[in-house]
Parts: sequence; structure tokens; C-alpha cells
Amino acid sequence: MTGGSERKLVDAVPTPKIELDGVAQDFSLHGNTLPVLRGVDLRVHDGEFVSIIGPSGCGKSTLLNLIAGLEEPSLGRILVDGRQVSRRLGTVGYMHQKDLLLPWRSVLDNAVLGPELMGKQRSQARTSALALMEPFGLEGFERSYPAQLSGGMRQRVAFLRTVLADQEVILLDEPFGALDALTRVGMQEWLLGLWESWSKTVVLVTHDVEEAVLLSDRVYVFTPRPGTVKAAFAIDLPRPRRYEMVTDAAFVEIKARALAALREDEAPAGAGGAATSAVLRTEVSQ
Amino acid sequence: MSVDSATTRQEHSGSRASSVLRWGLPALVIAGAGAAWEAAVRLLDVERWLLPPPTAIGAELVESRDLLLRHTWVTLGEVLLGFALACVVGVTIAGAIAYSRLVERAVYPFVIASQTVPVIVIAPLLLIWIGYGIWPKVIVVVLLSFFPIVVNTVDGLKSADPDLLRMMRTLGANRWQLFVKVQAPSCLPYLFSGLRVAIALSVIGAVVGEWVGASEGLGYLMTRSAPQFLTDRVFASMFILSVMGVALFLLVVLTERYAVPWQTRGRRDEALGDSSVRR
Repeated sequence: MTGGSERKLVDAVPTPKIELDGVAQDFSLHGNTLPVLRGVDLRVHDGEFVSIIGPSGCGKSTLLNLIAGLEEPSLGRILVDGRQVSRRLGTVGYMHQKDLLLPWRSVLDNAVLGPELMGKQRSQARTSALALMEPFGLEGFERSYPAQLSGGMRQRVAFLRTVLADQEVILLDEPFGALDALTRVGMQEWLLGLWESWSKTVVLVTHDVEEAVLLSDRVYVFTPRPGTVKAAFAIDLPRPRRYEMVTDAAFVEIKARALAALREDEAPAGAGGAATSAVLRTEVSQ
Repeated sequence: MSVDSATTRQEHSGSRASSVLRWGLPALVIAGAGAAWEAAVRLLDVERWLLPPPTAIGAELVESRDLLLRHTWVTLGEVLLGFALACVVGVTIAGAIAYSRLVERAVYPFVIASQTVPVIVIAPLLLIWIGYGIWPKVIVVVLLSFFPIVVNTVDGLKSADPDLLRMMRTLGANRWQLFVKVQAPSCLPYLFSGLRVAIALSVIGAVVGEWVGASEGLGYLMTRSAPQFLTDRVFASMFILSVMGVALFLLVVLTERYAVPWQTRGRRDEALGDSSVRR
């Protein structure tokens, strides 16, 4: 199976930052049990940018809820730094498709929410927040309320809040899904620059294959519900990356393979699965 | 809302025009109605005890100002005391209902039932139990005005966006932080909707309380003046009561503006069409 072969390869590398081991999650609906995730094996290494793509309703958001600690899996284990921590809440940052800013707080007060909840000194948090207003394109808006900002700016405030919370792992749930195409490209480039200088561990959920390939070190492709890992690709494109690379031959080729894996749903699982495993082995060993 | 125009920056000529419209139009309507009333009374030669003209009511306001003012203070005291108590009682009950399903099942039916019994029936009973003085009136005020506060605050406490609460939990928030930093602020706009209704009902409550049995207050003055055919005094009292009601209502709206600035500020920028704020 896919999971087994990958694990052997991973053994040589230091302990993964995040490791999911045979994770399954069910939901009860009117007395029926609805399987959402089945046998998910997934590893994210320290400082790695990993994307998860899959058809809608494949349980991607449930997966992030599990990693964040908002839910506990029905089966399997979730390890952080190789340990099974009972309370992951507060240790893993989570950014939603919605900006989820507190409307009664100014930009600055929203940004410092993380340190504030952890009981850190407010003045110190404010100083570091003010220093980041300029790189986040929020200079001059420190005292504004979220209702006075555009969608792209609100999303950047949410990013700033996530960064200032200073959690080692950041989960992004379709963070650009609600933005228009032009703003989205701008935000992707901006996130690229940010991540390349910050080197945080990032898990991004998206249904945009191009976005996943452009931003990630590795991409996991999920099956429809009940979701499980169908394929994994290493994206060995050089960094720093720029948006113009989406037309490069190497980029187009990887994107085409990822799309093919994603759209394989219609074909019977057997043949396609074997082919993807082969791809996976060559990609990961590079 | 008429207050919007007062705080909106005036350099925008558009908002100045709308401000003239907001204040001018009601003033014009009142002046027109008053003039028609005055003319009708004079032309048809209506007796003053039947329907006094506005000028006679104005004259009564000036002549009997000491008497009217004395009773106004009494009524205002009952309104404010009753409203303050209704706030405390209402918010406390709402908090208990929102955080305990047991309390919700046990208490909510009685809160609703308290509104189905007409206050005019309860008021004489209060008189029998507590006697004259300020307290029966205050209790009537509380009975009338705590209900909108409870209903709105319960809705408000339950209105917090579940996604916001989840986000706060991933940042490590505990239950108390969730309440103070998300649920309580989310509730404020709902609470103020309740307070606006409650303050208007408080004035009615005080007058009803005085109507049933009192020795002072504007409600008492009206019940005493009507049989003596002092109709202009009845109208003068009514005038003072409506001024009091409107003034207290505006006070609540102004407090809301101060306490819930994030809503009003966003709305104001939108109203101004200020594109420079957005990017």
C-alpha cells in the first residue's frame, strides 16, 4: 500500500512535526454513522509546506479540525513532534476561509489576540504587531475596525494574527477561497514571500491545484468521501518561486499529473492506485 | 435615525442635505399639525375644556411649571429606578437561561407568562400588597420592561459565531476568555435593541402605576386634572411625558453609539461612500 512504502522512506528523516497514523473519523447523522475519513496516513516535516487537495466534501476541513485539536479521531493517532499530546488546542495555528476577525476590535487588537490569550504582556505584543504592519500592507490601518477594510486586507489581518500567535504549525483552510481571482494571485505571491522568510510548517487545504503546486513542497491528493490519501507528489520546483512560473514546462507537467490523480475518481480504483504509488516513490526519493 | 446626522462629519454636502431633511421634516410636520389644530379650535369655537389649542397648552406649561416640574421629577425617578432594576434583573435572568438548559426550561415559560397577564390587573394587587409610595410603580415598570431585555439578551448570548469560538479555541482560549472576549461583545447590539424597547415601556409603566393609585407624579396629576376639566393640564402632562420618552430613548441610542462603536463606524463609512478607506 501507499502508506507502507512511504513510511519506509520517511524513517531515514528526523521525526515529523505532524504525523497522522491510520486516522479515521465518523459523524453520526440521524442515528446513521457517516464515515468522513478512512485510514489517513500523513506526515508533515518541520518547516515544510504541504498541501492537501481533493474533491469537495472529502473531509479536508475535518482533517484540519483533527490536527488543530478541535476534534478527536474515532480511530488512529495524531502525533506532534512524535508525541501523542492530549491537548493540541493552542499549539497549532488555524486559519479559516473566513477571516474571523472580532468586529469590535481594531486591526491592532485583533492581531495581538494570540499572545493576549496566552497571558503574554500586551505592550510587548503590540510592539511586535506594529513592526509587522508595514510588511503585511496594513500600515495606517492599525486603529481601523474590520468593517472598514476590504476582503484582502481583512485576510492579511487574520494572517498577521496567526503569525503573531507564534505557533510552529499553521493550518490554512482555503484561505483565499473567498477572494476574487486577481486578489487571490496577489495574496498567493505575498504568502510565498512570507513563508520563504518565516520557514514555518504549513498545511494548506485547497481545491485549486495550481495554488497547491505553486506554494508547496509536497501535495497530498485525497479521494472523495470517505477521504483517504490517494497520491502524494513532491514538488521539486526551485525556490524562491514566483507566480510567472505557472507557465513553465516543469510546472505545467506537475500540475497535469496532480490534476490527473485528482480526476481519476471515475476510473476503478485498482489500476490507478498502482500507477500513483509508482509516481509517489519516484517523487519522494528525489 | 436622527442621531446619525448629528455625529456624521459635516464636510460632506450630501450628508448635510440629508441632515436638514432628517430634522426639518419632522419639525415641519409637527408645526403643520399644530397650526391646523390651532386654526380648527379657533374657527369652530371649541370649548377649552373639551380640546384646548396648542397655545393654551403652551401657556399652561409656563404658568404651572412648578407644579408640573414637581410631578415630573417623581415620575422620572420611578422610570429610572425601574429601568435600572429591569436591566439588572433582565440580564441576570438572560445569563442564567443562556448558560443552563435546566434554567431555560424552568424559568423561560414564567418569563413569557408574566407578559400575558395585563399589567393593569397586577397594579391594583401591588397596591394591596405593598401600599402607596414609589415601590408599586417601580415594580410595574420592571414587570413591563424586563421582558424585552431578557428575550434580546438570550438571543444575543447565543448569537456568537461558532467559527469565531473555534478560532479562539485554536489560539488557546479558555471558557471565561470565550465569554468575555466573544460572547459578551457579540451580545451588546442585541442588548441595546432590548434596552431601546424597554426604556419606552418604562415611561408607560410608571404612568400606569400612578394611574392605579398614587399621590404624586404626572400620571396622578392627569387622573386628578381630567375630572376637574383641566384639559390643558392633561395635555401639558402628556407633552412632558412624550418629551421624557424621546429624550430617554435618545440617551440609550447615544450610549449604544459609545458602547458599540464597531457597528456604527462601519455603517457611517459605508453611508459616506468613502472609497479612500478601502483598498
